[in-house]
Amino acid sequence: MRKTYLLFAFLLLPFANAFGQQFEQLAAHTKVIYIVNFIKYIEWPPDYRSGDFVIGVLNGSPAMLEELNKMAATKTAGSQKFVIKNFKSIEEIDKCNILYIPEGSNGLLAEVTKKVHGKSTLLITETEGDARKGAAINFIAKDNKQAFELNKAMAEKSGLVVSSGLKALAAVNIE
Amino acid sequence: MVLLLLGRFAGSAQNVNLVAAYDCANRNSMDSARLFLFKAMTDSTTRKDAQAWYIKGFIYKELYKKYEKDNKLSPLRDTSIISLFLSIKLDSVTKTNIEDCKKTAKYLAVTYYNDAASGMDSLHYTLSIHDYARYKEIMKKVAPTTNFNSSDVMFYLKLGDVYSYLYFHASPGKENMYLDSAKRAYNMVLAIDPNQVSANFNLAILYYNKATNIINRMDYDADIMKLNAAQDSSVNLMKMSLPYMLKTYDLDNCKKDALKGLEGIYYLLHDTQKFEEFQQKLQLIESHQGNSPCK
Repeated sequence: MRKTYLLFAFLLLPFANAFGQQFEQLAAHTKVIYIVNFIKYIEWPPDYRSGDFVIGVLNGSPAMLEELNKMAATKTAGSQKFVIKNFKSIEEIDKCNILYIPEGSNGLLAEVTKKVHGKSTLLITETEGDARKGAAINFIAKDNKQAFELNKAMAEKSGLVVSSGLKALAAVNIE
Repeated sequence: MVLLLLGRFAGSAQNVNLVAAYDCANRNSMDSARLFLFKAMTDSTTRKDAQAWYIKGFIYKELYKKYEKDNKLSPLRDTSIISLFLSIKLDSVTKTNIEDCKKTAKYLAVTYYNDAASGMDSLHYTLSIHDYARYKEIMKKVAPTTNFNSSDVMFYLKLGDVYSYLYFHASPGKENMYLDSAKRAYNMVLAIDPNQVSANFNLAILYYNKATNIINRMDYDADIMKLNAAQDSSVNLMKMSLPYMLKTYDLDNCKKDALKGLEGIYYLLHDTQKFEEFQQKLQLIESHQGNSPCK
């Protein structure tokens, strides 16, 4: 009369795709939210406020480009439509409202700065020390979180008007 | 089983209907046995007879097997169990049928366990919880020394999986309820066996996914204050995920998902040094396919 025990079938795999959502994508999502916010606090000169609002990326990672494109598909910068451009080299860089230089582009900032000199391009970087080397905004980590440092003077040098609100939100203000 | 039952029965004077029920049971005519039994049990003396209740328990067990073995809420099985326990209670002096009652009850207990195991899914898990509780309740009465640790681990691990599945597919209003239930289930497993790999890993994943969902669900034009608050919550959850993921890796350092998890957690916590350390470990394992460098 002994009855055999069945086994609990562990066939359900709810965690199989746990990391399908790449962590790079998540970090990129956070940065794009920041970028959209920067736009709210910065005013570009009139010749940058018509036509497309161009966000250029120098050798962008797939995650960052995907997030920017997803954002661009649903949002606008006021009346301007977002256009995302991935520049493979410094030579390719043309007129853009924002130029994002990812980590790992060390040494390129000086050249990029020369390339955009005299243009109203907001330079955003993510390498330690870049806010002192030409970038107006540099992404940093603070208390395990994504934060940013602001070099307001650098932005203003490019003809951009930075609201004091952004200064208050920056983790570090480079004077 | 039937012959043994009749042999024992032969020794005592009984209600004629009860004898007829025995005879029918012996011929495997359980439907007829049930009818005679019904008549027998109208007699107040028979209702106080431990053997009568044992016979009833036996006949209803056979009826359950015949008609309701696929019914997880079988009334026949419930009746059988109630009858067997009543027999045990009434038989406290002579103890003639106690062992047979216990054997039959154990058999039925295992059917509850099996129903719990086969029915554990996102639709029927509440019934599975009921069946597993019934299994334990019966076993505690008929085999008090039973150690439930290994069956509890299996049960709560699977229950945790079901709640996790429900959490991943829940509407936002119900998410936390399922998440808490899943955490409780995995913690039940870890209370029994702190080194249970799947429970550690699944808990780590629950916290990890909750952390990533918070950020993922942020709209692109959410303001920075709101983003900071979301990051605070996300970081806290990542830090809650971390010890379980580390423990998983410690228990199974070939588990690629644990390494991927640690890589992700440290990346999102902006701990570059640790991120690179686990990234390298993952690359090492992936480059040694079939010739694993793990311990």
